[in-house]
Amino acid sequence: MGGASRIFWRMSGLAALVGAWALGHAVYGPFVLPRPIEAAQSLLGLFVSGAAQSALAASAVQALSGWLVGCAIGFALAVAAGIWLPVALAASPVAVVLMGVPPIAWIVLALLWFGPDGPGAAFTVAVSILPLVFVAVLQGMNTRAAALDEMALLFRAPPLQRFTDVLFPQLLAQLLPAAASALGYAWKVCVMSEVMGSGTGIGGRLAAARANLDLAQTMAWILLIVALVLLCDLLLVAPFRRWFAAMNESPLSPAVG
Amino acid sequence: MLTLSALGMEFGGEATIAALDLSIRAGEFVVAIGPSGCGKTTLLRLAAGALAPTSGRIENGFKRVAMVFQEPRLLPWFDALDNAAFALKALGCPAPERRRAAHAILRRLGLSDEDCAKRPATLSGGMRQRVAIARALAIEPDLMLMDEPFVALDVGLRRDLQNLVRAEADRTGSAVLFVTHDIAEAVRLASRIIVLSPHPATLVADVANEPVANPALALAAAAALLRRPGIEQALFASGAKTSGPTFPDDPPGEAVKPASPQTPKTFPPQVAFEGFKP
Repeated sequence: MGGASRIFWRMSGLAALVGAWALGHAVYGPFVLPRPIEAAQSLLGLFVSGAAQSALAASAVQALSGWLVGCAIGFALAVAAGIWLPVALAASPVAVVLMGVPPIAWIVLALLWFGPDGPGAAFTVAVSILPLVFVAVLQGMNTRAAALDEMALLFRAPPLQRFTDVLFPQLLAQLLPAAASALGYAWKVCVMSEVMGSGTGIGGRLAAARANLDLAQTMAWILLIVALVLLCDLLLVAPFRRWFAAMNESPLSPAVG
Repeated sequence: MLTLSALGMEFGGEATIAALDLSIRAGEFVVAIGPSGCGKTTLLRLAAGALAPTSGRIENGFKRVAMVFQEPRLLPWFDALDNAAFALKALGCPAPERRRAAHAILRRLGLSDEDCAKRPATLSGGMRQRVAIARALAIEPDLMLMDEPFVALDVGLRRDLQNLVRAEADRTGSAVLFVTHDIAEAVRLASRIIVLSPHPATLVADVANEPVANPALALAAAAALLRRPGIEQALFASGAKTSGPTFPDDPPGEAVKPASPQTPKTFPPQVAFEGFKP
């Protein structure tokens, strides 16, 4: 299929979604669904007034810092667990417990611990995505090519070189998809946390719009969140995924022919 | 000098190597032959320091030890140049210097500038193994440990790389411990051949050898080696003698020597590299 056809079919899906939205408005009226154009105008107004930018910045700080901390701790724990069995035995059940706790429970706890204006959303994001990254990277540790580790060890490569040149590139196969999923999840958890806490981020503004029964603005904030998740995937995750796919070849291809 | 004294290795209570004594001096090209699974790779890993022996002692006086594995074990995210420079980086060699050295050795082994920039997946099997050899040679090792490095290659390519390795060993004067189950490969390369018995590996024979470049003469020399007492039994312990060449006219116990005085004792680089000129 050619590039133009692909774009056409992608756009047709989105157009169908907007069509369904417009149909919902026509059937159920403006108190259930505003017209798509009203939501778009409201979104534009939010940008013109600067409200979107400030909310976006507040949410981004919480979501991205929580995502970074969660990824870093999950990755470090998984690497340690992949090297030392006692760490794996100790950390694995904790990861299962953390995964079993619903985000809403963390949100309530974070509100109690940090208050509505503190780093509660970032904490909730970090603690929610940590086990996802841990499990994915631990799987990478367990399935890594031991032959490459042995090669590096026999050539007496120092620990830093063994990590940067041998181990880390192998773990990217598991880390990248997990981090990508976690990023989308981070925005959702962050907004949810802000809705509960009524902060200055997107979630807080969304809660305010809902309280004012301003459906156009509510939809505008939702559109902004969706755009944000897509943009993150497009700008941050997709380039890494493409780069990794280009170099993702079997490390132990036999020397035949 | 590498000295293995009364070396023993067990895995799960089962002896893989038992009471093995072996010493390798600088400049020697020692080929260890034995049936598949007899513990040849374990011997190399012990010599490399990757395993600790269950009993006996290993004294390694060689400062720089490099290893070439059965499969190339290249890093797929690096190009050929960075793969060849990997061991130099491990020694702390600065980036420009190691890249220059790796480039020079890759060129000497027959890779073009274009090949140097390729990742392993886009190189042929022979090229990949040359990069693996370049990685080992780049650190100018005192001792090279080679674990059946050409077993998966076709006959012509294998011969090219055998010539190349032998020529590099002659040029640098480094000691080599090369394991294989191919007797013809052993007589083509070795200055000394050791024969290991299966389960557990013990030293059956330790014979001097003069490398035989001619393939036909190498087969004859291999047959002569097989005629020595105990060797055929060690190599074909299961009784399946059909896989070994048989030469009814060879007298039993004949010393391994080149079949013709014209047989070259070493592989001059200009001959060895003939096939690799771009």
